[in-house]
Amino acid sequence: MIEAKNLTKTYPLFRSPAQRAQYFLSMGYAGKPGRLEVLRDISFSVGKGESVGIIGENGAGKSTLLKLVAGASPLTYGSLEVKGRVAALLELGVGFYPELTGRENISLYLRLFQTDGEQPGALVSSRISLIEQFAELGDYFDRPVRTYSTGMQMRLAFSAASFVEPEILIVDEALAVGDAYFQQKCLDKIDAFRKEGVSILFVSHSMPLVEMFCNRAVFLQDGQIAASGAVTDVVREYEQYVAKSRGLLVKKEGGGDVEECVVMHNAPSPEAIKSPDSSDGNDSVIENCTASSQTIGSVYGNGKIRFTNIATADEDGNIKSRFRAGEVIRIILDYEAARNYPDAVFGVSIFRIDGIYVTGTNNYEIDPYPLQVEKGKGTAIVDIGPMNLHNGVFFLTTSVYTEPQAPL
Amino acid sequence: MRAILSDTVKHRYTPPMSLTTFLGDLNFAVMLLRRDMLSRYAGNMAGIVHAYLAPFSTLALYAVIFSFIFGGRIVGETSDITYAVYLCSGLVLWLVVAEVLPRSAGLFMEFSQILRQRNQRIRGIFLFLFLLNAQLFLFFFASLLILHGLNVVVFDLAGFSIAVLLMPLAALYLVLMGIILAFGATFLPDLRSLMPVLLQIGFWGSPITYSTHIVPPHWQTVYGILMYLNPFYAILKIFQGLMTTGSFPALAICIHALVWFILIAAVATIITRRFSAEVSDLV
Repeated sequence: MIEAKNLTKTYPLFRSPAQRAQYFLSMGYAGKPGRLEVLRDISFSVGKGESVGIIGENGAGKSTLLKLVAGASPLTYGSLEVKGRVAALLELGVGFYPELTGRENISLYLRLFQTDGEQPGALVSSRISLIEQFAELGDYFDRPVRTYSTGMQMRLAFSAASFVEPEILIVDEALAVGDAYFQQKCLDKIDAFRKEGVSILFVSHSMPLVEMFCNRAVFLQDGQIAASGAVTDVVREYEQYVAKSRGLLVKKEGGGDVEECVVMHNAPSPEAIKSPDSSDGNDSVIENCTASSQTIGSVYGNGKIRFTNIATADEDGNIKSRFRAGEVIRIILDYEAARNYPDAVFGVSIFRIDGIYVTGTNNYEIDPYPLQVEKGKGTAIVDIGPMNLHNGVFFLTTSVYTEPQAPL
Repeated sequence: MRAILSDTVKHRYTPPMSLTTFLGDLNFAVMLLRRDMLSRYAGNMAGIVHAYLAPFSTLALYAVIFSFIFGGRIVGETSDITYAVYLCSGLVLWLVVAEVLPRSAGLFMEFSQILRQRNQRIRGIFLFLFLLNAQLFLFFFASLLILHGLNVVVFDLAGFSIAVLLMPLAALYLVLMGIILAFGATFLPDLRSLMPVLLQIGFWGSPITYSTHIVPPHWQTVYGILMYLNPFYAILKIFQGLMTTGSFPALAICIHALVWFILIAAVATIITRRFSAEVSDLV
């Protein structure tokens, strides 16, 4: 479906308007611009029904790569073959005209997608009511798009892209602006596409989502492929890279002054994420992580204090992972320390499945006194709540630092 | 690293012209024209009427004022054509020029969202420009026919009909100029700001409101040379000749128009081939 070989993309960089004019008037023979290289030698392929996550920091070239595949920008060198109808959710609002209503915009959008030779209007008439139903915009569907919030624009854009029968779906972080309800609806739709054999190129900063939807991933760094392969391996490599660049991995400075930290990031398993269907609809499910026996996501740090077990429980200490709104969530952190630490800080954070931070705390925040950790095994207990979470699946990130002032 | 653009990618950006692709582009262009009609005057009570009200009132006012109030004949002309007829036959072209060329200069900015979404639709955008030209021409011709019917201005109907038949060629000529301006303004944004100035020069430099006969004898040679360099001159003379007296243009005027047509078409083609792929990175 997608075969990219040695893709390179450069953008022209003119020093001045005069140089730009000179370039044009000489038909490109004089005043040649400098080139800003945003992608270099990118090779990858996406087969039918494959889902590939493109991950990397801002400016790594993810969006540019998607634009090339979507045909929204020409490549500079290399070859790119894309077979199949491409529906792309690139920059938000692209393709919409503010003065036109949602319905009119959708009509135009669908006509844009009509393949050459397709009977005019056929696609439009058969799809527009489905899109209206899916977008759930109510009266806004017949109001000018300029009156839409960004979330509404996302609803319209995703709905339109979903109903052009794509063979290749490209999603560029567009879901981030939607509300939780519609995000979930979009995620379900993407999942349905995946099962139908639609090839998916998925850009997201939410690693749980990437792991959930993709079987392979490409990690871009400064316009080049830093890692490519099975999604779990690539995500771990990316997370380690991020942790390192943020200074969350151990740093040794000077002669003996050692700042130590251990950060644990436990992403939910795909199976756990899909579990809310089985709930009665009112529960929040905290994906319970057991880092020592089962590594889910990534573990960083020097390992001087290592979590051996992480469990969630109610106020009475009954172990459970399903909570009702208003309950206190007790997080029990079993650890093993390599030596005594007089001033440890234990922290926990709760995230939605799409990686959005919900809440978090640490013992220093609750009570700003050092927590002594003695060499050997121990347990730290952190209570959060009462929690009034909407029903859904959440996951925990746990961490322990040996400096109260260290960033969490 | 291979320093070539692959055939696959070339194909994506310049699909070969065929009847099927043309129909696809035409469908797309009609869609854009519809969007243009809908969105430009969305929220106005009179809606699309505004698009035609101003140019129609211009034509009607000129026609009424110079037919009934000032009257008179065109200065220097030996025939008995009225000034109003002469003026309107030139204005029909110029009003389209004044509407379409400034818009062409901002064409890629206006459709940047589409260019960023599906770049290969650039041909459809040019087709839209043609349709925009054509519908404006048709509207102005229809307006003049109404004024003719009301006896405000009286045209030579046989010549008028031929002028209408020549309209697609005139529209194509303006599209080719528009393409050059669209690419030009992308690389040289000053062009957009200069458009009002250029249009003023074009309007007063062309024999629309005056006859070439009023140019003083000692300026005639210079004026003649300048008119050869004026891309609108020949086409104006053709329209004026046909609509006022029904006379076919002289061979020299036809050659003049043909040379400009070929020149503009060649430049537009070269520019399109050279810069099409770069446009979406610049808008």
